[in-house]
Amino acid sequence: MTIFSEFGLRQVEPRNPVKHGCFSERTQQADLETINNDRAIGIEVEVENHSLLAEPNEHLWVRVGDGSLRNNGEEWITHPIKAQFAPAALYELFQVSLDQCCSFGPRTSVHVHINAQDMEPNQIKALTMLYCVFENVLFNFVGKNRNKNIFCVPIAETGLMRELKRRSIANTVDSWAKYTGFNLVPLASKGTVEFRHMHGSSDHVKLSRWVRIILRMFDYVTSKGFSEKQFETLCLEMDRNFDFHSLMTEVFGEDAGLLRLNGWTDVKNSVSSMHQAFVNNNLITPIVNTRVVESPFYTFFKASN
Amino acid sequence: MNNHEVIADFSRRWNGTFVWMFMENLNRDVLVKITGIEEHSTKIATINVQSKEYGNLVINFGSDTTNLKFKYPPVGVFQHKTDALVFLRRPQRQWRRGICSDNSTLQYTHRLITGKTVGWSFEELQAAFDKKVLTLDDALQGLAKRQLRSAALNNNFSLVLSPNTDPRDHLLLHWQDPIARVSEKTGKVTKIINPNYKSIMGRVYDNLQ
Repeated sequence: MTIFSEFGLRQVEPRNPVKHGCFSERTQQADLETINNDRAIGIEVEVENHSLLAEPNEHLWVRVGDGSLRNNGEEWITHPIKAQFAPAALYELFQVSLDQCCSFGPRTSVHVHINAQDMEPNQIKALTMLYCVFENVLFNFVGKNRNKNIFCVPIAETGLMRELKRRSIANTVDSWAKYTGFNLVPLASKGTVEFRHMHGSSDHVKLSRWVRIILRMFDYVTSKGFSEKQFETLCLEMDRNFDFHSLMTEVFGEDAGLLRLNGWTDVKNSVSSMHQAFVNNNLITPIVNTRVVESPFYTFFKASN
Repeated sequence: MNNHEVIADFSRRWNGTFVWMFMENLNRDVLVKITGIEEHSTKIATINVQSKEYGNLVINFGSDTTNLKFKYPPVGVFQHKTDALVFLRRPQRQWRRGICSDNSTLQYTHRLITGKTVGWSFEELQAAFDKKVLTLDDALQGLAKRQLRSAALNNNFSLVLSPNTDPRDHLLLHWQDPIARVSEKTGKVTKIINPNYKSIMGRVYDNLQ
């Protein structure tokens, strides 16, 4: 069972921007970040004070209206493309198409969708737990206090991790909240996981690195040697003595150098929240059904007066 | 936007919510609740705020609104008076910007078991910002003397007086879920309710001692 079959999705067919001649000569000659990854992605870029120098190729970028933006705001989204084309696509939009007078104020953001149609529900759950552990570290990479933004709330600061292990993926997605940094809601309609963390920016290098960092987590949970059972055991072993730096290097490889993990305090709350994935709601019922008024809890006010 | 629209927009976003206000005479931030915005004949508008320490205050829209700051309390379990509470954020689409039930939840850790709910007031919210937790010894003593009904511990654990008579051992909660029974006298785990937590119990709870 994959996300594709679970939600009865239409198969994503990433476009080849090279085949459609989407990249200008300038982009082809630019020194860009490298992403060696074929997974399909989509990028959404919000812009204010929108003005164009050149119309982007319609086989790569599509303009959509966005009511949340002010000051002549526009949103550009890519067609699904292979991740390897993301650096060139971003360069093409920011350096070739958009006028330099375009701005990226606090109302704007950049969202990244990663295709997960090929993944199994348990891999999505493992990805969610892995992401949760490093959520603070990822928000630190993004910067600009985006963890306080109400449109990309950290999942470790919500109750969403509760019972993740026991619940079906459909149930999990159904009860997820869109306005989280790590958004599972599009799994049901597009088969993607959306990363809403990134502030508005035209920094194609930072955005390309962000895409690559995100993909590292997908690579980790879909790699041949990955075992969900072992990963769960690892999660249950996480405490202040756990070697988070080694896990970070294992997951993010060379990109671990772009991330800042100061120590236990950076992951303490995330790990505590992640552990809620192992909670079982059924265990509450027997306690609730045997509550009695003579118990210590219900005689508390009588006893304390 | 004209003045009327600016005020209406501000009111929609902030009225009825909690924010921090910098009090120049005290040189510190004070937690206040915005209780009303009124258009004014000689000023753009005035904002009515309520503070636990200073009662009702009126500030000028524009010049004084720069002193209003929004920040969330830290997420997690904390002690307030006789109970352990938990503060969480709600990722919902919303207009309101200050702390309120649209974007936050404040609950007893034992809510799922006892059904008891918390009202929003300055005291609860201030306690969320202070985020006090108890040592295991202090928690056990407070529960034994019936000074506490539930006790907030480190790492989002809390102990709750048993709502049952068999067993009478305290319930150990992680966030809001029961995971073990704990001896009233020694604080040692007597029964693990959620077997998944066996490893976490050994590593985290035992280190609270």
